[in-house]
Amino acid sequence: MGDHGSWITLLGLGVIVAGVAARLNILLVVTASALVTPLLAGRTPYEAVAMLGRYATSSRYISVMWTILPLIGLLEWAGLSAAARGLVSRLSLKTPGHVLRGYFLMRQIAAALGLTSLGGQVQMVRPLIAPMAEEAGRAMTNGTLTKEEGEMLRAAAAATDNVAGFFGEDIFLAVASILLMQAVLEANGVQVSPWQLSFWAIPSALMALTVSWICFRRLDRRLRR
Amino acid sequence: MIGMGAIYTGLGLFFFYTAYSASRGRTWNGAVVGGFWGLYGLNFFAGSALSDFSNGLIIIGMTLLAVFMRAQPSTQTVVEAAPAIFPEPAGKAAIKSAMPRLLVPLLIVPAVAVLFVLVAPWVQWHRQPLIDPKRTNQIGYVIATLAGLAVAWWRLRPPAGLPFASGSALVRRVGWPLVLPQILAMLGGVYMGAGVNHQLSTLLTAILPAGNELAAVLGYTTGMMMVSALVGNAFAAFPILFGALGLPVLVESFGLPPAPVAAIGMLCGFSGTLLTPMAVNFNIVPVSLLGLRDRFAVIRAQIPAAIFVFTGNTLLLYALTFFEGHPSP
Repeated sequence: MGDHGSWITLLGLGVIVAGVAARLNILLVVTASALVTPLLAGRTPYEAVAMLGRYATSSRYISVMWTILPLIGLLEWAGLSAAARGLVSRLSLKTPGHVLRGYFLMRQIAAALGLTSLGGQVQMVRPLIAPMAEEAGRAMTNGTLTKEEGEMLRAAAAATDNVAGFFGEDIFLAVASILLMQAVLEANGVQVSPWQLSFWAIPSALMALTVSWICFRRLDRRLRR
Repeated sequence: MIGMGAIYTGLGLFFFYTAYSASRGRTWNGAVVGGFWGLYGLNFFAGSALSDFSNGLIIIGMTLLAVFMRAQPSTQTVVEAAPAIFPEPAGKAAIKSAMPRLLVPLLIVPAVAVLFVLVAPWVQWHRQPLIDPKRTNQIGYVIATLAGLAVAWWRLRPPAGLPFASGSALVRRVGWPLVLPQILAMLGGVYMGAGVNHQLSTLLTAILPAGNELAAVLGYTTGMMMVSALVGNAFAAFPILFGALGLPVLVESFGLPPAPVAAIGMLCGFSGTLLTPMAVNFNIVPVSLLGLRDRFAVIRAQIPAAIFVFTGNTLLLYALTFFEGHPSP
């Protein structure tokens, strides 16, 4: 058996495509692919299960982000979401577009300065931004916001956090993806400075800003009816 | 040295508590949910001591339980009343004056996290770092959330145990997607270990026509987008595609500078991440956090930005072949 197995190993990726297409539970799809792929590469079942355990355990550090949940739970018990809704009128944010535009700018600039932790679905979107966007929508439609429109605004808040974060963080020099690129380039014998890499992230940041601005305006116009 | 051990133990206890409060109702679903979080807690609490094979069995057990969990979301115990979608405050009075008390702990978290990362390298004892340098970000984040929790506890005086009860109710609201970021990282590791990266780059170099700039640029950027979408993560796709097409074809034979090839490729991968349910923590976790009925609502809202930035980046990289490219014969 060759060190890298054969092309048959790629059928492990096919498990993902088939599983997602069949709308199966994604955890099931991922675990199945992680079990099948080493078997296709010629490992024994015992080795395949052990591989699963080894990489799952060494990846535990990723789940550390959930340590914030008790704090969010406490603040929500004390009325954070209601306070966030109050913030909408105090900052005179008249439409959901205003809320999301402000958050987009703040999130993108903070990410470009390396403050990626100033944002996030659990930390900011659920407790603050989604209720604020929904409240602004409610105020704008004089309380006639439908359930569907409310969910649309919450989804837009979540999307704003992702888009602004993704297309902002690469401008910062010491972010994980820049470090990864540098490491991969170095492993291939190419030396580049992080400055050069982050320079090429600027067009993406501007494109994301432009298209989001248009989306926010369309969102407001849809609510204005 | 302060490492991750204590943090994993603490998180393990938190998930054990979640398992306990889920199974208190003594229903069939409560037992399934309890079993799932109990196994997850075990991976945190004892994962370092258990063998790789036992940890693998834990993951398989969790997966099987998760399949049955999805059918019936649990909503029975008292604490679950707390984190409704956007809960009403316990006492509605004086929301305005409550604002700083509620916002300050939330903003303490990023502030302390950043401060910690800046200060950590200087914290030494006999010239040995006191804080594990490989995990400074994670350790700083945990310390920051604890600082936020301490300030909130001091200002708000909740009933004892309430933060953990409502925190674990949030864990149950998110459900099995909560473990997926970690399990996807596991998948990336398994793929590397099984040689998938190597096989995929062999395949891609074989199918693309040689000497055509547009085909190479398109193959590279769409490849980054699609492989990132497939594995839910641009970081796993980058070494494969850069090694297969970016470096040998775009840089070495077309003469493009390596920095834009790398950076633009990575950003095309980010576009792919915005479009896939495999990027669970970005696209699926918010669906359950925000109580959305459409599983693809967040992805749908991201389509314009993802496609627009992807197209712009592909054109930008193609334009560079006119300015900087000097194809070798």
